[in-house]
Amino acid sequence: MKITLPLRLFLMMVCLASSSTAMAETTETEALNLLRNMTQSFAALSYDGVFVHSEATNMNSMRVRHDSMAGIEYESLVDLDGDKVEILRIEDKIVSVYPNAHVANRRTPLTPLFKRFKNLESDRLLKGYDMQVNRQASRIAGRETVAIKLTPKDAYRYGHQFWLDKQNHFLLKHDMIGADNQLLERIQFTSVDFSPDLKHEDFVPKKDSYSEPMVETQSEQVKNPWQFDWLPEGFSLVWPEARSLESGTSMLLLSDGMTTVSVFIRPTERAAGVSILNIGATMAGECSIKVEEALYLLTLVGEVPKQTIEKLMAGFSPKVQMD
Amino acid sequence: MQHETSSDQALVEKVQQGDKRAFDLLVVKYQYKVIGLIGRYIQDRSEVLDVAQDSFIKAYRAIGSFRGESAFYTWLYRIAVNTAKNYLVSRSRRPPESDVELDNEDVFNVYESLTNIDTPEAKLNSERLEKAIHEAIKNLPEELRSALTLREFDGLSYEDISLIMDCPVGTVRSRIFRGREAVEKHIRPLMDGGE
Amino acid sequence: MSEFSTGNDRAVETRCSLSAMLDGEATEQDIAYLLEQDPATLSAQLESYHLVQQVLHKDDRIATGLNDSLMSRVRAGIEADESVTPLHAVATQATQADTVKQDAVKNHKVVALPWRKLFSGMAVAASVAFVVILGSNQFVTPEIPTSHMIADVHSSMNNRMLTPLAEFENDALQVDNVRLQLYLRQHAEQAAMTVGQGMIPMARVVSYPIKE
Repeated sequence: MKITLPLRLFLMMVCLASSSTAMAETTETEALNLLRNMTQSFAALSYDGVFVHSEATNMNSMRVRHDSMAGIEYESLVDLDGDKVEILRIEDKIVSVYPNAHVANRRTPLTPLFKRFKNLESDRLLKGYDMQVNRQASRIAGRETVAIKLTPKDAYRYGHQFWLDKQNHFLLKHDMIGADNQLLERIQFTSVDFSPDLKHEDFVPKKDSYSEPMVETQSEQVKNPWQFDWLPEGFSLVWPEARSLESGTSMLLLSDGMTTVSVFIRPTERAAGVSILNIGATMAGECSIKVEEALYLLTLVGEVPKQTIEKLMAGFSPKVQMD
Repeated sequence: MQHETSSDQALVEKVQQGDKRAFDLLVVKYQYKVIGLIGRYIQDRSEVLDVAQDSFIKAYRAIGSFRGESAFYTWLYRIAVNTAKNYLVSRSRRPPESDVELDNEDVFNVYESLTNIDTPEAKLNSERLEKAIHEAIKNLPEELRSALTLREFDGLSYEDISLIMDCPVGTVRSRIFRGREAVEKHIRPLMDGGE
Repeated sequence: MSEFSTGNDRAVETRCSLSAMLDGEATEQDIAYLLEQDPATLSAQLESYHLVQQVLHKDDRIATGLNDSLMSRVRAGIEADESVTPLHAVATQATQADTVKQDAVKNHKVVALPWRKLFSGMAVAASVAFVVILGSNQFVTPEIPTSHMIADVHSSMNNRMLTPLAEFENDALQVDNVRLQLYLRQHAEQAAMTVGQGMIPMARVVSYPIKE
């Protein structure tokens, strides 16, 4: 049977399309597997490493240590350049440690349920990003790497590139990339030891230091008066309910599986227009919204572009009439 | 911290069932924190006490609505801060620019306003007391000192301390108590007589 | 607690239960036991424990003097008001006062500072594209914490009660820097929990100790 030229071309295109779809799926599956392994490596591996965190013209070196002892997970993050501030985590408890009592950190963090968030949100990630894997990536901190590139599918999120240790899939380098390939933030290990000799004492505040325990603020199960009229593809609420902070502030958390946007809302007395601030890759937006006679101050903080913050703020509204 | 919540929750439930003595215990436990907190907003000693009293009474009135979904102190803290701020507004005074955060440090400033610490005698007594406490803690046996500081410095639960010190929870409880008792014994003369 | 040398075991047990209660570690048995005791005595006992806490937490001037005075006043206040009952309804009533306005707090200072400098309190090179405008953020607040507002994602529009942003006066935004710092930390902590990179996302804020 003779196949006409247009038909031949059509069949060829179908074959090419299906094979490239299959390749994309393979790449995505591989990327997701690597990201999953990366997530697990943070919890499973013992490590003692130094990394540099940089954004724009600022750079800070940090030491991170992690180990599990007698079934308890310990983690420590120390700022090596500044005031020697240390954040200690023992399982789900976080303690901030300062070199002396004069540096007080008045904060009220939420209960960090680390274990709850260790699963990779594959479906949401696929909605927001195209993924590529490069197995010929460079060496970092003296270790062979494999690289994963997450290219955003829209302009409402940033791109990411991860370099993982080829052997244990530990994250050795992470770039956050904005529009026009602009590097917004980089985390890169300069050295890391995966057989550290860590002891309990390494995760106990030093004698002359000042530490401050975390104060728990739990969520309150109440009705749901707020809504977003718009969310970028793949974004959804992480918690089914809000968390209540001090001073009447409620917090919500949005995520697309890679980046997060925190939403804070509290009563206020003063009307204000939209204001956008940023530091490095973190963008914050504030505005007041009026619901009948009551004013609320809405604050959004996230590693997303300005337009995402603006659009989210504009689409934030009450769902039902509030008492 | 869950342990904190559950212990207070038991007291709250008793209050909700009509046991006023349980509320006394909550007042006893949190009075310094609440006064400290209010002391950050209001300087005058008698006003601080008035607002603290008012806050506790408001908490008692509303305790039926407390459902244990947040820590009791978180809830009480909000009542105290709001009562203090509203008190200032009602007196046409400016509340501070930012809210005082919920932490243990609130205790300190209060005392100053409560005891006219600015007098030289009071200051001297305060310094003596502080020195005596440091001295007493320094002289504690190692296991008592560790247990007490892990609790007080780090806010760790008895269970966490038991893991770190590798001993039963009951021993932790006992060590912390014995540590406190030893310190108390050492500073009691100063507290009683200011000597 | 047989290891204590004091002859008064019961008093020792009381203080031991009190110590546990202070730490939020009291058992049902402890609580039952403490409820039988004289609260004024308990209050006096707890004072020394509080003093120890203060000194361990911070080098600062300390003093004593509260004893059971506040507890007595609270109790008297409660008892004086016959109508005072722990009722759910009272909390609801209290919320309705939350729209009280106050005019005495209009004046506010406006200072422009780089965000990083605000956070760090140190002279760090500023990489900030925007500035924060400091100002007071004051309001009369409902005293009893009530149901918090919680957002949900909804596709339907419901703007009936919402005043468009454009209608607000174009004042400089009142940004309480301490509050913003706290938000940033809360955000970093949640990011750390959500993105599966251990505490590394907290590198964004670990170098900015929050100060007042």
